[in-house]
Amino acid sequence: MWRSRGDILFGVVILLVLAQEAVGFVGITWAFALSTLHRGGRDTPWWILVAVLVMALAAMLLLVAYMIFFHLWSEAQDARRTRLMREWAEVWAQALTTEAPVLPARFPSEATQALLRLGDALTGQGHARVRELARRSGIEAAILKKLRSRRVPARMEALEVIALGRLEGGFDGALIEMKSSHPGLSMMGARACARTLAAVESQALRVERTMAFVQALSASRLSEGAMRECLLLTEEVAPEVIASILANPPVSELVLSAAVETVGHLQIRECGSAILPLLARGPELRAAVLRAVARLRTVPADLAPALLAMLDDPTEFVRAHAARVAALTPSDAVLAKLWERLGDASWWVRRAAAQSLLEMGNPGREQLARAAKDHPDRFAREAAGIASGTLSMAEAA
Amino acid sequence: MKTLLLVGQLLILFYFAALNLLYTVLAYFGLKTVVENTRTATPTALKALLESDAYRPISILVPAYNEERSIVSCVRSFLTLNFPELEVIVVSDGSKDRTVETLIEAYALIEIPQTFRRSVPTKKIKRMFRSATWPNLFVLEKENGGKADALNAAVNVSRYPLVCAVDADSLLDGEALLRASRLFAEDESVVAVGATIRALNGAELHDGKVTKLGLPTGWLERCQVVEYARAFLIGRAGWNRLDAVLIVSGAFGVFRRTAILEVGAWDTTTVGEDMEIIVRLHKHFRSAGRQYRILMSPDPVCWTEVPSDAGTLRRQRSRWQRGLFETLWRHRDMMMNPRYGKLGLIAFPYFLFFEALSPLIEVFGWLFLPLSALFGVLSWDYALAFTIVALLYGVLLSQLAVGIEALLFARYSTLNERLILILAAFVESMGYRQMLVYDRFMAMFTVWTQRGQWGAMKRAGIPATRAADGTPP
Repeated sequence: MWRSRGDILFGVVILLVLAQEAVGFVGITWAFALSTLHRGGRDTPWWILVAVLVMALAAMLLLVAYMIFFHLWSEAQDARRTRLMREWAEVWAQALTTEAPVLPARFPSEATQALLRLGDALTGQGHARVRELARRSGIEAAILKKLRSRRVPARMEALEVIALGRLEGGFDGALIEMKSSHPGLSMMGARACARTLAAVESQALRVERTMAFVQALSASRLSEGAMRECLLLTEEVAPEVIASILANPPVSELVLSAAVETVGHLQIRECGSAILPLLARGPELRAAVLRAVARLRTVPADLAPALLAMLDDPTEFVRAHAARVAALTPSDAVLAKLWERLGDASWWVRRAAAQSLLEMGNPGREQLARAAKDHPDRFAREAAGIASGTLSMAEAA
Repeated sequence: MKTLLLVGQLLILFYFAALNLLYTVLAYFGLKTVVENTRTATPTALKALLESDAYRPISILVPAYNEERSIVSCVRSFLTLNFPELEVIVVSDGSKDRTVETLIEAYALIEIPQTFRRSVPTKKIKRMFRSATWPNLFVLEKENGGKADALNAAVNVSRYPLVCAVDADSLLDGEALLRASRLFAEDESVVAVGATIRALNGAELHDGKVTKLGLPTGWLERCQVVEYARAFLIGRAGWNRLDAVLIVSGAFGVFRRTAILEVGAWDTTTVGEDMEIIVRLHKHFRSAGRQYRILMSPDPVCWTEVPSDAGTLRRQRSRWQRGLFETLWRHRDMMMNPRYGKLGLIAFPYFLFFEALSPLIEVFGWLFLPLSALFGVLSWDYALAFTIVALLYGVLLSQLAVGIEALLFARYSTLNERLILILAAFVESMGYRQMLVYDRFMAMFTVWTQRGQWGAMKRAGIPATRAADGTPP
């Protein structure tokens, strides 16, 4: 939404305006002091006031001139950029189909963007070819050099390119940025690592980088949501990454939680049983495991006994998730437990239990209908009645 | 007496110096916010958010009162936003016109039972509807209780972890929700996100989306374009850099639903409910010692219709001033309180002295001139120079905002419009602002007598446009 050119120069302009204002105020204060000391006579040094006015006008002229210049320059730049992107898209498309393309020595930034956009539209061999072109042309080397810049915006731009292009050579640099105290750099580094990891073809290299990525993830200050996003971006290699996380228990709970959520989102069924030991951990992890199971729509056999216990969990949201998962494993024991949960102290648990009974087919619906009439708890009767459509909220109130 | 007047002049000078210097520093910080945001909220980041399924679904809460002219277009624009999972909850807050009937006809609404949890008490909900053609659209018809009460009713109905409070005359940029949602997905401690509000007047719309930006023809509206640029691209973006955001505009704000419910949702007894809830969020999380962040992102953009007549504009600013005072007074324990860090020591005093009390100081400043002359302590050279410099520095600040606005891709594109905006920065500081100072000054005396009163707002309304395939709204 914002142009990335012109912001540095405008920052300089703002600082100049600030300096001019500061000097101006010093001048005015000095003039005021002098006029006060001379008791309001006509001794106010007029030249100070004139100087302040002239400086203010000069700053205004500078600002106006800059804005007009920037507007005209950026309009021309936008048109040039569009043309260059189109031209370089054709060049790269041609190069992709040529065995040994002859590439120019230097590339404008538009050439890099055009190549990356092309790569983003391709998969498999096509994308691998794009990465090779980026390496051979020196674009990757230029980006890695930019990654070593002292300026934060420049490093951010480099990480963006590494992520977009899945440039393997950028993995180590991105890994370092993951540990940065700057939240933007840390997130972009993690994203770049995740996307690059997904493109690594060598098995040995992938294993090595997976371990390094997991360690960096644990050491980073990323939130659970950010970690989850990065794990989801590992795509085809996500099972290996998740397996690595689950096999190394000392990782933080945030990482474990993100890994478990990823299992559910990406439907990694082979990890379905591996996440069950986490049920012995805190309530957040227990709930994450249950959510993952719900997304997988398959309850591992090992989970069934634990599920009944979690329907009595002291933590409300764990009971609610367990009630939802219960719909996937109908049995007499589960039906009996859901009957009890209809009278739970928590509205969310009552609602989840009622919804699950509704999803369990005829046995569940019969149980629900019975509960709406005969459950000893008033709130259970209401929850069952609302779920089965025999009662509206207004009537329940 | 003479000494008093001299001291008064000196204080006004220092006040003016502090205000301008601080604002210019905020401009620098605001630019830094923009610079970093440009590099982090990239198309790759948004695409990654969508591909990874890591976004949080959003409930859009739309309080509406007598909006029959534009409600259909407005709702359609929300329903067609570029966001994978959202619901729209419109609350007709005791509308006396055909707001509800219009929606029933346009969206094939069917009345449904009111099956939701009343986490926050509100005025009575008379009816609840769901659309047969848009399953993620809900409409509530309730007794009149004010905007805050309508928002609270919508929060009760909402199912999603994020809620987005908008005005019924707001139009959101296509990717606004995606950009806001990204911030919540990447940082669990974020509880509220505000955005940049821009004037819709003069823009061309198609299918509920802004397709071409154009300057409004009236100078009153043009001045507001500059004013909004200054307020959001300098003021709030700058405070965001300092981690001291005290207000998220009521026209567009995204909140974590659990956080809203923890603080008891919106206060129905104030007209400044947008600022009041943010301050309450700050207090709540700080008091609990919990990590949290409230952000203002320059990226998600909301378009809103600004008043085109002086009467509506002045009533609006009077209301804003009263809302500001109500909030500052209500939470006066934060003032200069080190327990609240930068909020208590910097942001709160700033809002009191440089926002709330600025009309008072400006009016007294003008009164000082004849008084000082009467007592022979006025240097006319100095007074004239100071007045001109004060006006010029005001113009400079507005120009800085216009300059930051030029960095947007969706900006006023012709050189003619750019020059008009530059000129508007002059007009805004020489006449427009002074007109509003008077209303804001008078509003200070009606804070308690007009408590909770919004006044009548006249709007042209968002024009109903046909969809891209030619179907009527």
